[in-house]
Amino acid sequence: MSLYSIYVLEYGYVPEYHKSGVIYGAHNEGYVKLPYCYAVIKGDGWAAMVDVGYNHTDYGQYLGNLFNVQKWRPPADVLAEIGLTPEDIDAVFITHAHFDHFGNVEAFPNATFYMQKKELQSWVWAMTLPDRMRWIMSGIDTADILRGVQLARDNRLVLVDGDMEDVYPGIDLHVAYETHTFASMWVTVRNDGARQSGDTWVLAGDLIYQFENLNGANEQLKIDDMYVPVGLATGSQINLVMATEEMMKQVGYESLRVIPVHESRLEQTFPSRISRNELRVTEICLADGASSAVET
Amino acid sequence: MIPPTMPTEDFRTAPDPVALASGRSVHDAACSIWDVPEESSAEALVAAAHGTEERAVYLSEMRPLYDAAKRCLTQLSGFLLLLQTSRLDPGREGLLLASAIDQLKACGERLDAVAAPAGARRHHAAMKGLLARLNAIAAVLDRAGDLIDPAGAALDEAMNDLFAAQRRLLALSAPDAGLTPMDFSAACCNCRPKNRQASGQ
Repeated sequence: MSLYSIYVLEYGYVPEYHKSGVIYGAHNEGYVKLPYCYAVIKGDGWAAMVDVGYNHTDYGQYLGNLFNVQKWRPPADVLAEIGLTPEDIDAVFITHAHFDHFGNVEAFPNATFYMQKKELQSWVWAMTLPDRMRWIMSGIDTADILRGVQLARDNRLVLVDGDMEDVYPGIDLHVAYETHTFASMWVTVRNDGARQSGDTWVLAGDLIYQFENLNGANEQLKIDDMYVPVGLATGSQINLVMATEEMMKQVGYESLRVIPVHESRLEQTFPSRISRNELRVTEICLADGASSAVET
Repeated sequence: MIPPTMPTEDFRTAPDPVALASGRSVHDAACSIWDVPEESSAEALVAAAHGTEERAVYLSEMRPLYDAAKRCLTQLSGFLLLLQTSRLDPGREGLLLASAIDQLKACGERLDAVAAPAGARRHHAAMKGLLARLNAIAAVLDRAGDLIDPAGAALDEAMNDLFAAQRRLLALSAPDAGLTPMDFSAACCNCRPKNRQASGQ
């Protein structure tokens, strides 16, 4: 039994991003393609997203240009590839508050948003720090926090304090404190609904950027398979490695079941296609009775 | 045991780009992080064709004030958010609000000391207006912090004021001079894509 279909939808990409930003310690090793994606969990008459990307209103377009984001498309275009509209989205799990994950909440008028309380509290605290500590504040758009206020006003924001099991049937939220950000979250889908699931998927947010974070190598140490943290950590690399271990434990150490959304090579593992907007649609798994959105 | 020594000023000096290219640093030789803080110095702004020296000095002085206003806006938004989503913790959230109020006061004093050249007087006045608006919001939250009724007009008014302040913050931005609503200048993801640098965009 599979309760949900899971998709990773590209909404834009950076053609050449410094590899050291993606893989800790990969200094001067060149560039990698960095897709900007969100994940969709689609059940019977219900749909959720893991993160919402950013928009091109306000300051988003400037940021996109700054990072050379190509082919950006709004959620209406991206979701249409799997037969959904933004209005169909019932829940959104925000893994962390960076602009490319939390920057488009107004596009989803019917969704309830879930986010870690400490993530929000800590970013707000960081804003009290003096200019010389500005590194800590990187990647946060003031407008996004403000939109969070609007969500709360509309009673559509749930601040989660730690792990939360069965937020919807078979879907758990987990927190990794002081990792990529103050309280990054990952989403675990037990797709058979069982407590001891044999069909678990982890949607990792930015705790894992690409495959090398799960199965990395170090030539100097002659190690060809180890966890290598992502390149950007507001918290610590130790905590990132420990969170990776926890995610891997949940999927029985089948690394292909931990889904990195900044990975351009998902197509090597999962069925996928390029949309008419030249963005990739990847189908991680299909719910019972669901038709493929990528295979004709 | 070697006794600890005080760091010298040298540790703040940007490394030699040639050394960077040879693989001895985290950042790419052309990474814009090496432009910090020079990118917003008056000399750099003049060099980047930001008008007269007077205007460049003005923008350079405004950069930290803009950042402070931005952070205060976020703190006030966050305060209101926490107020709505969780029981108010006077020990923590109260400190948060007090911090924002202190920063706004300091920011206002510094702004008064900044001389606006002819072409920047509207900008200066708008900044003053932004600070006044933020101060007004802070005063409302300070006075009525835990009394705001989720269904009441006071909350709507506070939110409208915050959104208006955000719009003004956007209007006051000057990204090329470092006045940006979002700050990536010190993040390691600041290393910009290769083709963007190559194309000179």
